[in-house]
Amino acid sequence: MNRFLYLLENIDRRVIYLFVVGALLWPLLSKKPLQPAPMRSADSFFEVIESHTPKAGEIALISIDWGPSTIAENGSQTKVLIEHLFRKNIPFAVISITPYAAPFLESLPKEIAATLTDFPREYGKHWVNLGYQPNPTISIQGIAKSENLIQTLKTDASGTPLSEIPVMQGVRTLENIPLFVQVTGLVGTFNTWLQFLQRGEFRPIFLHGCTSITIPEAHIYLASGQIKGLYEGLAGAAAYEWLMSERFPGRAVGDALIQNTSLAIAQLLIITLIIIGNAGRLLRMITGRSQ
Amino acid sequence: MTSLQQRLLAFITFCGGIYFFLSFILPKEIAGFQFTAYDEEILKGVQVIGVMSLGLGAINIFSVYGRNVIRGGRGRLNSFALLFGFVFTLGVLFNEIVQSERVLAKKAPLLALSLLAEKGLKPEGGCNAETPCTDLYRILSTEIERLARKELYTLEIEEGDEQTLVTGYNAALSNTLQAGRAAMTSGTNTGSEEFIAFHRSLPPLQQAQSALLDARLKRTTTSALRTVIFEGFFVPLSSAIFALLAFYIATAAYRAFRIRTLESSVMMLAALVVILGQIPHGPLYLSESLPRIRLWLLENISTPAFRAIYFGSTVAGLAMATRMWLSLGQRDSEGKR
Repeated sequence: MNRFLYLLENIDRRVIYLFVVGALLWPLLSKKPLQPAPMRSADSFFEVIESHTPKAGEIALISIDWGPSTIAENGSQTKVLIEHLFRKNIPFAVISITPYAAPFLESLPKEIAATLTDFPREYGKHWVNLGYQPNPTISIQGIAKSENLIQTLKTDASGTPLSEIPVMQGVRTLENIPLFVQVTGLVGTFNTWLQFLQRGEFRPIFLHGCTSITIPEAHIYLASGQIKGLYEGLAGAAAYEWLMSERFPGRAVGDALIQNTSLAIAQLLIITLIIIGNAGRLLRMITGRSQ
Repeated sequence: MTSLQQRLLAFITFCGGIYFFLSFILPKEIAGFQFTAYDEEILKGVQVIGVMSLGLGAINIFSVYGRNVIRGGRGRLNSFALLFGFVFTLGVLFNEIVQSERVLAKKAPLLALSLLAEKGLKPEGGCNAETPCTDLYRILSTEIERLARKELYTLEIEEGDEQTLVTGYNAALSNTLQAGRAAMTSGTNTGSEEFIAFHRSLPPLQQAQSALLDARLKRTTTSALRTVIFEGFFVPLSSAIFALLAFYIATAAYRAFRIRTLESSVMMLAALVVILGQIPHGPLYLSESLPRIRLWLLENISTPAFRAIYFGSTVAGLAMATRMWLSLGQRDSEGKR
């Protein structure tokens, strides 16, 4: 009995690793997603995009401020967001204040556009890549204060003058950007946007995507109304994707739902392990007292 | 550092701080002096200092790790790997920038031609049937002849270029040339139908040229090396390192999350509710109330606590910034240097 209790409390870490691999791999291989738990912050995010109707010459601005390390969470969030913007025909510009994100600014919209064969979305007409902007504080203030954004930003990421890009033709000041979305895994980058992206009394509607670890911080801004919607980690992206599938029946199941199922099973494994560990301790205490 | 140097540094730091401090608290304009008028110059200065610090960082890396490689200290191989990766990545990316600039230079003449044609259509340019632009006409005629001779506009078709892109470019070039000659023979009226047709033929040519040049750029060795560095090393390695957390968290939770005190019990209960509150539907979805309880915990327990921590750290940051601004950090508590 004592040997069994000892084992319960001291499972070898390699056994735990094996269980974690199994828990993560099973949903990824079986590709059978479960319906995510409802999430009010994701519902609000969805509603903002769904009800957004840009006027001629207006665009949405998406700041992709994450690198490869948080691709599982932030990548899924960005993909489902871009898909929604494409489906709603909302023109947008992608930008970043994080150097690691630069390659994703080009690849993600292209990847999503390639899957939407029914309504082709082209670079220049429907979206533009403004590239990585060094020195975040100065760049964001430059965008906020600019009287002519085409002159301020000058070219897209590949060096083409913005004056030659159709989607930028009506964009003059920040007031032509009524919607701003930032997706990041880095604490602090969102604050920079929030502090400086304002022109006089005008401030775009802010939406935010964060990793699970920064959810408590992001909730500060959600509760104060400074952001109107939030992707809460991978679970938030999955909840959003579920809403997308309901709104656009027939769309292919994206990464977020499957990855979220995988994550949930791993989390349950952790709960099980905690229970096992505590059960062992509790039983040992009881048996110890009875002896 | 001498006393004079220290005083000079303190003075510059103070001046830098006082500008932003005053521009924040004072009205925008005082007796004709506008604080914001110098923002751009000052911020450019900040950028220059930032760029210099990048160079200093590089020198530091070479100094520390280079010495280790030469002297053969501990972790010599790791130091060498770091330096090699640094130089190799820098070389590849620098080469890519040079190649991109070359492509842009090739795109530039057609872009300039397009802007010229655009100018001809604008009413403010004075180019219409009544007042034709002879200067613009002359410049455009020269450019179109250059286009015909393929001066500036030529693209050497290389072996391996995608045939459809080459065909598309050649067709667009021939179309533009035909439209351009028709526009030039129709007279100096840049508002004519022929001129409009010429103007309309330019964007497809630009797109075809751009597609061909971009495709060619992606075929280069530099581009392939960049893909290997980024997609082959950087993305998988960064993701893998972060993914290792899953394993460590699982073992750490199992070993450390033991109910020993009341506080640890409360913490574990809250953690369980938050996790279970976002578990997907299915056999493990315990209750409809759990997502609501999770949200309540986040909004009413976690958010106020985080706000308090945040305010506290911001006030501490302000105190720290004031000390740096007034160069107080250089003195000890008794005011000695």
